[in-house]
Formats: sequence, C-alpha cells, structure tokens
Amino acid sequence: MGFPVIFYGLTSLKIKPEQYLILKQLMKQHFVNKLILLIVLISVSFKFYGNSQPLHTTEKITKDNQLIIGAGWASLGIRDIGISPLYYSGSHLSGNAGYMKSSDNFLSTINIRILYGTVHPDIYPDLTNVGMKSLKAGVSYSYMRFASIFAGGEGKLFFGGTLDSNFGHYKHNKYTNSAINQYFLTTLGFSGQASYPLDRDQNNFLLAFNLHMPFVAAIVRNGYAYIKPSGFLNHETGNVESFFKSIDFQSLNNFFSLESILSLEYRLKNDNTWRIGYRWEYFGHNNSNVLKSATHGIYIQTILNL
Amino acid sequence: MFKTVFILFVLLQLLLSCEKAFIENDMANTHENNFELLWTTIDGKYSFFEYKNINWDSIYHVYKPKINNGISERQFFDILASMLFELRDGHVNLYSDFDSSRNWDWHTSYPVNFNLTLLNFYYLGLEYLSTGPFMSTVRDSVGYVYIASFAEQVSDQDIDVIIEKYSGLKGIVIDVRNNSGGRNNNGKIIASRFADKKRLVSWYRYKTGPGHGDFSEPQPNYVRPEGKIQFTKPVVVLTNRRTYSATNDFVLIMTAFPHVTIMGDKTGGGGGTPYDHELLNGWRYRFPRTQTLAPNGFNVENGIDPNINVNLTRNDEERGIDTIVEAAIKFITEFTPGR
Repeated sequence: MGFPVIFYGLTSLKIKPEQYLILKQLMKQHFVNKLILLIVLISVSFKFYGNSQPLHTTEKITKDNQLIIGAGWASLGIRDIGISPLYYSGSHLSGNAGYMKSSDNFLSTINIRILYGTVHPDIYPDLTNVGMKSLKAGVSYSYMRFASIFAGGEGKLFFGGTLDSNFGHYKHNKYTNSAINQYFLTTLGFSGQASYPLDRDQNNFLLAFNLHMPFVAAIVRNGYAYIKPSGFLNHETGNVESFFKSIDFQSLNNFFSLESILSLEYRLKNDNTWRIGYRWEYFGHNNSNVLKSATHGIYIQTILNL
Repeated sequence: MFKTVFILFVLLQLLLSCEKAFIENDMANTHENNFELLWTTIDGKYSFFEYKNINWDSIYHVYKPKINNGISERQFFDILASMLFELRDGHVNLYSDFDSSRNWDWHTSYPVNFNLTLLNFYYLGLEYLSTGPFMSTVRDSVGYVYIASFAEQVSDQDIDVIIEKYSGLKGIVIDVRNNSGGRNNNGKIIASRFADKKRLVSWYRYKTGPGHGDFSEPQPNYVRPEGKIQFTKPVVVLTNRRTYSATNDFVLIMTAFPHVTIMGDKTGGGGGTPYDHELLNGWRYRFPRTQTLAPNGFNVENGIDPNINVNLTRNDEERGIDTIVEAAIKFITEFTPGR
C-alpha cells in the first residue's frame, strides 16, 4: 500500500519519471540541491496531510481530533565508532505529546518526543565517573489510510507513510575536545498499524501494533576524524548553510531503521482514553564511523478528545 | 481469536526487539584486539605522519611481536605507551586507571626561560589585579598581563576589563610562558581586542580519510575587532618552549597584527587538536586529528619562532630580574612609531 500513497503524493506535485531521475542526480551534487530535495520530501509529506480527507465520502464517518500527552521510561543503547568502540547503554526519562486526527478511513498524527538520561559502558566498574549525558529529541508526522480488515472483520489494518526527524546529543564525561557528539536524522518511510478491539461490544479496549520502516534518510553526522559535520569546517559559513552542506542522503544500502509500538488503549466514560505502550526503535548508519542505536521504552499516555 | 491476535502482536514485538546482537562489538576485549584497534585508529586519523616523516607500518612490526594475550596489564600498557611515544607528540596520551603515558620532549630538552617565584615576588607582588585567568600589574607605564593557563574559559567581560584598565598606557606585555594550553577559543577572544581590522590569522586542515595525506582543503580562520575598545598600541607577547597547544594558537593569531611583537624563546608547538577515543578495555587515549597552518602556509606543529629571541640569564635571575620581561618593557617604552 505504501507505494501508491507515495506515488499519489508525487503525482500531486506533478513530478514526472524523467524529472524524478534528474532529482536523483541532484542528490549527489551541491548542498543547494540537497536543500531542494529535502523541501520536496517535506512537501510530499505535507501533501499527504493536505489530502487527508476520506476517499469514500458517501460513507458515514466518525472523526476525532485528539490531544496526546504522555511520559515514560526508556533504555537507550548506542555504539558510535566515532566516539568509542564500546557499547553504551542506560536509563532515560521520556516525555511525549501529539495531535491525532482520525476517522474510519484514516489516521493522521503529529508526535513530539524527548528522552534524557545517561549511558555507560558496562566495562567500567565505577559508573559514576565514566559515561555520557544523552539527549534525544524527535518529531514525526504520520498519515495512514484504512486498508483492510482481519480476524473476521474485528481487526483493522492501516497503511501509509511517516516523516520522522531525530536529533541526538551526547556529552562524554571524560573527553575534552571531542566531548560533544551530535547527529540529525530525517527519514521518510512506510508505516502500518494493525488494531484489534478486545471487547467488541463495549469497544473500550483496543490493542494496536504499529510498524514504521524508513526507506530514505537525510543524515547529518560528524566527519571521519573530527567532531563537526563536513559542512561546518569553514568558520566563515553561516550555520544554516553549513547544516545543508552537511546533509548526506542515504537509502537502505547504508542505513537501516525500524520502529515498532505495541499499545493497549482503554476508553474512559468521558470518551477520553488512556494508553500504555512499549516502543522499540533501531537505527544503524554505515559510513566511516558506524553508528548503531536502539531504544526500548514503556510509556503511559492520556488522549484527550478535543 | 483474541488469544491468537494478542499472541501474534506480542511475538512480533519481541522478535523485532532483539537488536543487541547487531549492536554489540564483535571484537573481544583482548590485548591483541586492543593493539590492532589502537594502531589502526591512529593509522587512519593521526594528522602528522607525513609532516613528521613517521613510518607507522614499520612501528607496527616492531611492537606487534611483543603483544600476546598472556602479558600483564602493566606490560601491555608499557608497550602501547612506547609505541605512542614514537609519534613524538605532546598531544598523544594513553590513560589507564593506574598510569598515564605522555611525551614532554617538546620542552624538557630546552632552556626553561621562566621562573614563577621571580615573577610573583618581584613583578606581580601582592597588589596585582586578578581578573579571571589574568594576573596583571603596571610597570613603567606598561601593562603586564600574565596568563598561566587557558584551561578555564576566558569571558568577554574579563578581557574587556583588562583592555579598558590599560588602554591609556604605552603598551601591554602579555606573558604566556609556561601556559601549555586549554580551551582553543580563548586565544581568539583575547586576540579580538588587539585586532585593528579583520585579518586572516591561520588555516585549519581536517583529516578526512584513512590515507596519511587525506585532508580537507585548508579552511580560513579570521579574527575581527570585538569588544568595547581595541588596543592597537605596541604589544609584546612573551613565549618559551612550554607555550603549547591552544596557547601556541594564540601566539600564531597575535603574529598577524603589525603592532604585536613575539619575544622570548620558540614556542613548543602542538598545532593539532587532540580528540579522545577508547579501547575495548576502557583505556582512553587521545591524539591530534587536525593541522594548524600560518597564513603563509607554515605548519606550526613544531613551534613558532619569536621576532626577538631573548633568554632568561642566570645572572639576572639571581638578582631578581626577569630578563625577558625587562626586555619587553624596554622595547615598548623605547618604541618609536613608524620604526
């Protein structure tokens, strides 16, 4: 289902196949072209949002606008060869907020999340002195359309796409000039959700499984041997220009990312909802300094009907 | 049906969450692996192999046979420390929980040219002004500013206090002898108060690939006038062999200004910025990954020569006189514009 949705977005922007090939060539060139491509990626995503009206307008459709607020705990593990060959892991507090618009035909969600904590290599006996302060923040927009039913019509399947941006910041306690390491990552990928009501009659409990797999990413990371992205080497260049100069577009051959969420919702009498969930996320980037990171988190959310 | 769907969802989630095998290091924490890791990382990222004409491959063949997984931690540390010593670099260190390796060749084989007791007793005295890292006083209508270290961040306020206080004097002596560095941006903050106009002060080159000559294009580093007042009267910067690292960068920046004179001994160098890394056993090490070049392309890794070479004589020292400070004050008081 993902391809038609993407194709739908591209045709809405009137991009022909030969223009797409030109765009692909631009990816390999100057930062201005990378900027154009990033704008196109964002435009495609917002195009999804702009066209987020139900296709079958003759159906009776119930629409919900909901505000999501939540908090939780997460365990984050990271191995970035640019920082250390050791695997660092540790506990984080997490917070999240979002806005969801949904109907029988679609789910449209904007989500903001933040994690803060410390990570330690398990090789050190004294964890108080050696480690890294870790901050991870992300914002995502997801749009999915109803695709099918399963389990005798009780379960629902949705498919669509997600644009996801993440920023990671690590400060090593023992390092000096190379203490601070950062990365920025924006991905576009396929998303799916399977949901199943546990009590069909009351419709109070809903079990859901979400999966998000990006297929293209814009990545800004430190260079081969220094703690600045390549575009930031010239001190005379402004930060915005330096940032866009540093963007490295990657597809699945050099990066892999996967996110899955298992959640259980309980609808209260006032139509607001409580949700508990388990979120797992993996990200790997193969450049000269291989980066691999995974996050396991549990959270609780309040979903308020607007 | 409920059970089937529930079990399916949970199983799928558990299956996807087993990522640890992909993330954890496939290299075991052994002496042999740590040796290979250290040698390989430095081979790809150290920035002075070609400049110092070091054959790192031959060094591998000297030290590799000494490594086996049966030797003690102490023996292993000493072998790695000896290998790193071959780089002859003050910015290269190995840190374990029982020792740290270092190379101080850059100053131990040269004249000291500095006596802190002499400075404290006969020059700064008890009435000196203490502003951030600056210790300063006035002698013969010349401001004398001693900066012992760049370890702490210099604030705009600190340097502006100094410049404002001494702006009416004939000149300023900035003493950075025995200042072996610290924060890189301190030099630029201080120098900006002595800048008469925007000037190219240095170039930086960054290691961009595993080849010993893989560097970025040289990136320009400019200093512009900043702060409330610019001091453009005569300035003398005092140096010795222990003027090193970030302080070496400061001296390089100051050489770009026509009203600044470098006096004393050659600096110790240390033009590459050292970055930290770790081994699989948790030992930390650091080594330079950049190069700093003067505006004319001269590599300052091995130090910067003074404009006027002056040494601290034993005879003066015994009489309570710092030969280099006195020469700097005399240079300023006898300075004739346009000379």
